[in-house]
Amino acid sequence: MIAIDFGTTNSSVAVLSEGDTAPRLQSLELDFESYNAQVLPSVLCECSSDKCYAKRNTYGHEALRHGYEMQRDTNLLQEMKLHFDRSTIEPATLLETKAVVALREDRSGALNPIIKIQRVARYDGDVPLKPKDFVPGTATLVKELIRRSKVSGEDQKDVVIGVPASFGGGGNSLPS
Amino acid sequence: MEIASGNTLVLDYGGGTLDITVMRIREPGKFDLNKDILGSSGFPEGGSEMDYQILKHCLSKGGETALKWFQEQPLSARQRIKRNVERAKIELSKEGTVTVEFPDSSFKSTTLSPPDISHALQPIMTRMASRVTQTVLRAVGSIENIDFVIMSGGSSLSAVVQNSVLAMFGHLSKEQFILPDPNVRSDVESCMCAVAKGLALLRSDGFAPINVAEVP
Repeated sequence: MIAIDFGTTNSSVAVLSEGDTAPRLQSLELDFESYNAQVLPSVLCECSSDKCYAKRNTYGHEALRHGYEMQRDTNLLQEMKLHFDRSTIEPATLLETKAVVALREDRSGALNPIIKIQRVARYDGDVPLKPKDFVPGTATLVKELIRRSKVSGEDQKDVVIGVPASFGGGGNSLPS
Repeated sequence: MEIASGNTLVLDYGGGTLDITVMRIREPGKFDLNKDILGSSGFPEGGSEMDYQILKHCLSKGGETALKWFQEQPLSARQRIKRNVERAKIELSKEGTVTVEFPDSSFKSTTLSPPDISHALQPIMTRMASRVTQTVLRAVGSIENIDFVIMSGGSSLSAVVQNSVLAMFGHLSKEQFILPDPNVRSDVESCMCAVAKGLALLRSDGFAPINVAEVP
């Protein structure tokens, strides 16, 4: 059985096979920037550059470096769990209503300025991730965590992933 | 350390959230998931938010120019600087002072010491203490009814976080706290990976998880 702690910043994996007396933590990353090989930064970099056609996705510290080095053609996905939490608990705060000036064509063909009230996206600071990024991004990262774990086919039949206690509106009991 | 029996507060303080659980241990190594979880909740300001507050504190040392410089940086540069702050925070759990680099800026770097971190994190720690207190009161009626406190997760390595939690439970002796030592490698490893291990043990004890869709 594979147990995954998919964290906001770091992820770890423990495996408990038939006959084991204790879970075995998996070595997930051997990187010169890594503090602990049993922890992988929860980061995925998707690269569409022609130079990277053989390796589209990078993970962990390698993903961070690749995302920072390539100034374009990359989608650096990090802190994805935080976005899940916010999008499921907090109401959206990235839309604001404001008046904009638009041009409307009248019957004579002339363009007249009019004021329209529109809901527009407001990006305060970093551009936030969208579900179309972090949902498949999370699946890809979880798949990589399983791939990097030294597990038998039997273990892969049972995978458990932790869910933050804050999910479900600060409930009084754990999910069952 | 094995807890014989008593009400136990578990604080898993990670990068994104603090997960708070109050559980009752009736006898060593045994508890009923359905009966002995007395309460749980979450707090949304984890290590990433702490890093952001520390970053703001660093920039405030450089005045208006530093703040303006940071805001003008591209996203990738801001992310790199945030990463430098995170590294500095980790180092500061072991060292007396650390330097945070601001590459390509006119002020180059700034020095951080424990009082800086305390100052930067004070508002978060106040809100965290309020949320934990609220959860404990709802679960067991009084702070004094907590017998043990266990901390895990990367943010629990921070001295500011540990001191804030110690201050909340003044009725407990040091032996009733299970806190990771950032200078002990095995402590760091076990606190970073405790959730994965715990999940595996729960599952082997017959805990039925929520079904999730198959990973494509």
